[in-house]
Amino acid sequence: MNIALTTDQFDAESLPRANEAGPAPKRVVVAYGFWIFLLSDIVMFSALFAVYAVLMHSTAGGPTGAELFDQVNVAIETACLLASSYTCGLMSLAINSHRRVGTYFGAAVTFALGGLFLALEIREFANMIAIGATPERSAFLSAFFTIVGCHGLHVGLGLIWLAVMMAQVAVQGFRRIVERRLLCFSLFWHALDIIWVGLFTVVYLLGVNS
Amino acid sequence: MGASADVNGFFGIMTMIIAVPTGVKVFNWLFTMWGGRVRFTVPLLWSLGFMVTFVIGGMTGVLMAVPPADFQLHNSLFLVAHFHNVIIGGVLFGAMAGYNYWFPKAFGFKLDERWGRASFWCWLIGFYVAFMPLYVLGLMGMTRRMQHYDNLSWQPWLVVAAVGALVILAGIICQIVQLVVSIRAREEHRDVTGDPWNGRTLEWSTPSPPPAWNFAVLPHVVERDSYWSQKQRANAKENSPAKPRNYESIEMPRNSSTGFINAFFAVITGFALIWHIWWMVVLGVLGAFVTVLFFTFREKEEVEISAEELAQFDREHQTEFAI
Repeated sequence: MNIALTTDQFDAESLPRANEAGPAPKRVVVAYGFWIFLLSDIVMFSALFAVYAVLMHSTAGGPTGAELFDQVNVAIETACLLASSYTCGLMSLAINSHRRVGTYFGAAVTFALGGLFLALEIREFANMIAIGATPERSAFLSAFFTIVGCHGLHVGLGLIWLAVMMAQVAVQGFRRIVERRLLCFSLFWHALDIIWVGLFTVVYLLGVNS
Repeated sequence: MGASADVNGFFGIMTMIIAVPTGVKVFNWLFTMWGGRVRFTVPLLWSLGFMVTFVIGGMTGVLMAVPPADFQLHNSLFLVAHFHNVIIGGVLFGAMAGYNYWFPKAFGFKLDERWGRASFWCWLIGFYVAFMPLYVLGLMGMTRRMQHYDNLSWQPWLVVAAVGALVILAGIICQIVQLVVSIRAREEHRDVTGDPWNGRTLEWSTPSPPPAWNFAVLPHVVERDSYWSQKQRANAKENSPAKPRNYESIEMPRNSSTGFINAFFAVITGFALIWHIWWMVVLGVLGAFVTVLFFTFREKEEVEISAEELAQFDREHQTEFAI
């Protein structure tokens, strides 16, 4: 487009008419809408990060992060989630070339790694609650369970979503709408990964030093 | 209150900054009226009430942007009066203007003018009678959310405020009556042109209520206020030959009751979560999940509106000016 168009050069009829240009492809529209949802989710997590940053030292005489966090456990969790993002990418490639077996395989490994992550997180929560480090104990623990639990809830819902999508691929095959939903799923999964990197840094790495 | 000087300074500056874009918007609205032709219909009355009330509320807001003043006025009825001044004047009056303006577009008939006027005046007068005394009370030291008070000098102002609340109540009643009267007399208020206000923007080029696809042919917009200038041109050279419209089929999402059913389960879930009824939480979440699952497995997600259907709809609801 020539930006330096003056008014007498301006020829309305020569521009593409709105109805000729047509609406954007559905894939673009859907992905755009889903990005807006993801951004709203990230806004929510930003607020939770801010809450955690303010309350992380308010332990009310209870256990601190340095006493509670098990770095090995968190390292395995992180490895699981990062690897699952990689296998999710492999699944996306298989979907693009309509390879069913590759799709199922990628989804299965993604599901297994996500499930392992969630199991480790639940075990960590259970251990903490067992020694009395419950959300009610201190403001620090309330903030911790809220932000980490909220991320875990997202991972859990993502696993359900992935399972439903595999059922759809099995029943309906690679329909356009199924492909669009899988595109949204992979965006969601990668976004969770990014949020986890932030969580890992702010909650666990900084928490151990405090 | 209890916050450090830094926090007070921060909030003072932020409060002042808010006033800048808001002031620009007020000039936008004023100049829009200056450039247009003002007709005192109900939507415009609400808009004027909104502008005046909102500006007054904004000015009391700027007063509270001054940290020493805010230190005194924080949590007092002065603050309560201020935010009602902007929320009623800014949100509610604006929303009422929009409600009266777009009602005919959405439902196909105009709202009754007489009851609309009555409602507006009751609201406007009632608002000032109810909330201006609160500014005075705030300056007299009355804090908000008091369970009782024993200061007799507040009594007259509070009585005046209560009278104002009654006038607002009359305004609310007028609004309800306006809706009922308009629905009962909808045949005489029917908007057959699709453009009851002689509007400028594209939504008025569609019939009222508009079809699900909004525009049978996507409008070709090359300038601001495209619909308005189209009308001007059509008025200037009468009987200009109508351009044949090129209809193309439109894909529309199919109707679905999923949202409604889901809302039902969401209510159940919310209720159960509030009252800790865990079996009901499971029921609600499961119900919502199954509903969505059912929805995602549907075979066809779109219906096609054919070009012939569009052409026929256009012939039946001929609007005056096609774009």
